Amino acid sequence: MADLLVPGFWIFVLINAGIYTIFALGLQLQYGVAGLMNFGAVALMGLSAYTMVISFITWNVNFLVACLLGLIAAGIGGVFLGLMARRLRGDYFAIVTIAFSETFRYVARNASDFTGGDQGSLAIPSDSVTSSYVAPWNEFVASISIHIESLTGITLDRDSIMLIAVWSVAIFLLVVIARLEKTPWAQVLRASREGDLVPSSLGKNVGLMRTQVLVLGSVLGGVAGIFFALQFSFIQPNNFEPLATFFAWMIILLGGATRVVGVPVGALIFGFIFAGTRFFDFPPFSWFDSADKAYLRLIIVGAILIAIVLWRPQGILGRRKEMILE
Amino acid sequence: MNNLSTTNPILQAIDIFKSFGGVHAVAGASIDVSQGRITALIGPNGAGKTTLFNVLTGMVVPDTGQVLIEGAQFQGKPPHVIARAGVGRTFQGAHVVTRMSVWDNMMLGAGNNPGDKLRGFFQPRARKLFSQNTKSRATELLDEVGLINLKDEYAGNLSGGQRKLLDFARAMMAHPRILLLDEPFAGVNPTLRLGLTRLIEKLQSEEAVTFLLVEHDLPAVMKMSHHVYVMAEGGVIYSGPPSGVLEDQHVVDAYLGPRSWKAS
Repeated sequence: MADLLVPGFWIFVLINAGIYTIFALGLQLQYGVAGLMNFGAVALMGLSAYTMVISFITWNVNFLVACLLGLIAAGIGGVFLGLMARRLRGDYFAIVTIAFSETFRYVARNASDFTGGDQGSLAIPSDSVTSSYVAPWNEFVASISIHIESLTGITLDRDSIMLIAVWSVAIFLLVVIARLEKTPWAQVLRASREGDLVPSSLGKNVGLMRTQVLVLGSVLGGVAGIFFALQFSFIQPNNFEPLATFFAWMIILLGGATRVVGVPVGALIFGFIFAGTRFFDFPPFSWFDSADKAYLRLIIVGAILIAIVLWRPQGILGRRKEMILE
Repeated sequence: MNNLSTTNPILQAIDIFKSFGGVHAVAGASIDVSQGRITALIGPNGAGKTTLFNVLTGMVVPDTGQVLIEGAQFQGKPPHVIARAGVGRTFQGAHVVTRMSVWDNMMLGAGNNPGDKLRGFFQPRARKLFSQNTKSRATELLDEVGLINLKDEYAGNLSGGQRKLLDFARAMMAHPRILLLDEPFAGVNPTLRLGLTRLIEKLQSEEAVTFLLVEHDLPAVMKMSHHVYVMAEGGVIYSGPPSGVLEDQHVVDAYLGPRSWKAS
């Protein structure tokens, strides 16, 4: 349990929770408002991360432009999902999104010349650390750190600054999306969960709105993807397995899919359960070694998901009536 | 009532054909809906009335034929485009958004809402102004159909008849110039039915709304409509004043004759 007292560990957990908050916020918008079951959301995260890294390293694009290109790539992925959503609903759309996400991952694994393949981060251009895409971020962090130190006398390490950056962006996005979800635009999408007939007979272009929500959700996934790439300094195709999407699903179901405020709550709870179980050394956790514990936490996560769906389908903060009536 | 069917058709269906598989749901039907009038569309089950409605509102694309709104072609256009051209509709099964309150259903109906667009997010003033302006309309309409006390209720908790009234009131939120009603009286109790009849007549006279309605309640149709079309087996077999319907041999055959037993 001693490890649990190290602040660095909790900062790490909180950074992850922040990245997952942004990622899951995209899903909350798609599912909680528009009722779209996107089980391939991780592909947008990957698309953005990979585009950023490839633009920066292979094409020598400016770092900020590379980040922007990453977000644009995620947005284009969202347009593609929007085209599919015009034809497919519910379960069928969900299946296609998983296929989309796995297609992305397999392309990333096998187009080695372009993506670096299984070894990741373009198979690491080995000249020096500075060739890595993380270098400009580190420079930025260092300059911020010096700035803060000269102002306050407090020295912040890389992770602390990352923590502040991730949560500043997360809170900003939470506020914007929460406001967006109060507009008539969001109301039309809520109505479209019960079919297109009513909104379209009232003059609403539901197909367009659905594409818009998928693009927005994808760009949010893209933001998370860029933070992910910066935080871990290294990306490989298997970072973007479907499991990551299901974690985000668990977060919104845990917090309550119909409300934005449920997203950070779900992400924090999830983050602590997921990271914390590794260090629990009381029974039953002490019966397992650390490798087994890594699997045990997946079992715990799964069990919690089943419990939520059975006993509290609206999540911790959701609106029950909006979820289960009829 | 007087027959002015030939003046000013605001909505026209010309020679519409539509088949599903081998079944000819609509086979060469043509109707004119006159501006500011109440036109009724009647016929036995399976005559193609609802399919024709769906063609007129863009929910079904016709195989051939034209849909004209004030002379402009609209066949095959998506439903929201036709709705924005001023054609509202209600549904046979009364489609309400069950997981929204009655009030939110009404607000959904408001046409040209700046907040419906994503860029409306950046125009909070326009959104606020619009919602203030639409509130009185929603209150007025809910009052007319007797649902004002239920405005905070989830629409999914309404009875079938109440849902029909909400569907109707919501369609009126957009100030449609033409309103297509699919069996507005079915499942509505006699008192509300009377109120609904009065409301339709009032909207027709005060707001100059044009109505086209599918209805099985013949006495109601005879009483309120200016012009009647009778459909059978996908085609129009009668067009004229309500008074002539029951005297028409084709109509009698379609409803009572041997043909109706063989078909559908």
